[in-house]
Amino acid sequence: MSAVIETKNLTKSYGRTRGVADVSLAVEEGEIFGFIGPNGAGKSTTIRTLLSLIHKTSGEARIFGLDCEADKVKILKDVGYLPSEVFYYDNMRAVDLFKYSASFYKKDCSKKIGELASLLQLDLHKKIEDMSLGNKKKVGIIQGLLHSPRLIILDEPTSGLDPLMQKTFFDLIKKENARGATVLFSSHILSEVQRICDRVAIIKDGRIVSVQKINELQQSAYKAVSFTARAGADLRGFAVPGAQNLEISGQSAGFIFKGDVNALLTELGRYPLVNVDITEPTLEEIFMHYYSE
Amino acid sequence: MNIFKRELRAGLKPFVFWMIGMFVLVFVGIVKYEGLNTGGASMSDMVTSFPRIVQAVMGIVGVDINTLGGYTAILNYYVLICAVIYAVHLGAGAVVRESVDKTYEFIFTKPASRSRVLAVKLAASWVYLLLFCVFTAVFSVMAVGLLKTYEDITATILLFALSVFLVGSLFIALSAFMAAMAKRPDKGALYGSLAFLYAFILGVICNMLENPGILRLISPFTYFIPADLIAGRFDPVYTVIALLLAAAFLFGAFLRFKKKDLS
Repeated sequence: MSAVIETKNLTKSYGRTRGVADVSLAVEEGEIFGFIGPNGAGKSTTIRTLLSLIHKTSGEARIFGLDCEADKVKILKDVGYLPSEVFYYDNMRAVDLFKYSASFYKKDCSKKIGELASLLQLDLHKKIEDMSLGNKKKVGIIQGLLHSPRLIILDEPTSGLDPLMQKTFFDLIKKENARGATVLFSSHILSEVQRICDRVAIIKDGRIVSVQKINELQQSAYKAVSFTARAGADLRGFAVPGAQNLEISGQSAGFIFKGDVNALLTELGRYPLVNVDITEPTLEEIFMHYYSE
Repeated sequence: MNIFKRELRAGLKPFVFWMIGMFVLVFVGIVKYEGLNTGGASMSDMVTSFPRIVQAVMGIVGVDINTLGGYTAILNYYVLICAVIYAVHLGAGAVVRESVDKTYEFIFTKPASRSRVLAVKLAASWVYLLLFCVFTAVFSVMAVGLLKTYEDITATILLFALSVFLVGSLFIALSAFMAAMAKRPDKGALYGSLAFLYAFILGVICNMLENPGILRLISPFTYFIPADLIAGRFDPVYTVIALLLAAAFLFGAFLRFKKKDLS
């Protein structure tokens, strides 16, 4: 497999303000690659640098093996992009925008526009400015996919879509992926990344802190531990090496654990327990672990 | 071509409003001329008694407003001011409109280079400036035709229109350059407007001076002197200067826009 997106030490700074620093990624052909981090972590900055909306300070950014800045026009012929916030032209109907968008690719996209509009239940003849946020998002999805791009870049794509439409959207992305499209899926909602992605990069304060397969991330040595003790037990003294993000609430406590399981059980044995749960952590918990470090 | 069509469509409404304004300005202005000439007293004597600064602000220095050509020159001064304001709006809009409207993530992620997008947008701006000058000239010819003076000043009106087009072109390029240089897109048109104000004040100062000399170089409002245009003379030196400056500002605008972070 070859990398569709490849960055090496990609850095973007705004004077003294941080953008992203030393971002090194390789998104392989045909995969759905998640890119997660909270707002302001650097996801959109990375994407905008890849799309040459903003210029890198240093490092390398390549798509389809081509330089993102020097070969921008060539690259964008095969890229579909859905921005996190969708803004389009006043007085334009959805169909006008799609025709305008299709005109850049010099191919007949009318069949695909019809299929996508029907799937997403979008009224093509309504003015975009009169649409709800959800419908504007659908317009964004269609304009990003109408030319059947080889690479789809989605930045917080589900905001504004209701749960049913989100399911339709995920099915659509999986279908595009099955067609051969590579997908970069940026989000701060872990459950949706977990739902669709093969691999994920976690970005924190402008730096990539981890790139893992989704199943590996969940099958890591981390465990989510929670327990409840009988009334009267004082949990304030609970401590075991390897426990992180410990939260004590009355007679209950919960934490992420990575360490000697025997030491954990010994410590738990000191308390009159009513219940203990030792489970695989959710992605959310793993994510919070990365952010607490 | 697709961008060009969209730009023309997007610019149509403001253009129509401007044309309504120009129509009213030209026709009401010419009707006033008839009123002045039937009044008996010489307006020219009264106007020349004004302090020179007042004459300079009104754009009537050295112009005999008793003649139709001279009177048209005053009207043309106001047309020029309007054309420059419109040109500033067109030039800055070509550079920053997509950023201000937040549609830049649509247009600039399509397979078209930034330079091509900007070139097409500026081409549409120039089409509107050209139409502005042509329509205003046609209005002037029509309005003069309504007068019963039977004086043909069409050639003078065309020279005035050409001067407005050249100065307007310079301001499209200048405001495009300033918008490209501006860090914040919402400030793009502001700097162009400040340039207009500066040029207007410099124009007034130039008109106040008997011999402005080199000052005229940095005062586009005085590149084409009304008395020369009435006499059928079109200054080739300032034509070249206007074109060269416009080319230089355009070059700077393209260079900066290419490297600009869009947000």
